[in-house]
Amino acid sequence: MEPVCSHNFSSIFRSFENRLNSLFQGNTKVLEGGAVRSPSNSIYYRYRKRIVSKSDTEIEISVFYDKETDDYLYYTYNIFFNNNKLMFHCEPTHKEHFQPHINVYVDDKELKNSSDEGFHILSHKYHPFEILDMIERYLRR
Amino acid sequence: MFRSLIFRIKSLFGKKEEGVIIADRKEFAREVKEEFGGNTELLRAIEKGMNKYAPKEEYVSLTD
Repeated sequence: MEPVCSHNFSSIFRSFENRLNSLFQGNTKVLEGGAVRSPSNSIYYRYRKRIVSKSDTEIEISVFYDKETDDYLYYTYNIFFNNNKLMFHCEPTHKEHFQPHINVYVDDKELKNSSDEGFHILSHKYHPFEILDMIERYLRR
Repeated sequence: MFRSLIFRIKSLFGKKEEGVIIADRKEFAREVKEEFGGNTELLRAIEKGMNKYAPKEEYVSLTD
């Protein structure tokens, strides 16, 4: 799997977009976003997407990529399973969220420890195709 | 004024990446502010990157 970088960001996310749409083909209730955008005179790429199936499987994605540092500024992939949610998040400028991590929500509530702090399950930097594989597996069940 | 004109001409004739939509700065700023309203830290970082190569008259503020 080719790692995401500023040179292949748009082609990787275009391919991600096509594969995601084909997974939901004929079963889409809500569709928002989907194009790679970049403000003029700026160093970012941005990709946003929200897709909801007729059976209420929902995927929500927001990605910012900094062309200059060749790294993410922000990414979040939310995968909703009824009232449960898996959130893959990375925000390098944030003092607590600088490491890639996963948050888990059960019955709309975030899993927390006894000090009422949300669990951050540290992870690697997820590739969009890994997220796609996960969505694919879930939809096939 | 002159720099801004040069940027506009460059953006008209510059190499366009396939599949990338060049978004209007103000529209982009509005969307980002709407989505990350509570996250000042992130908005500051985005603002910095958006203004880095922009002529002064095109600066956007996301943290007003």
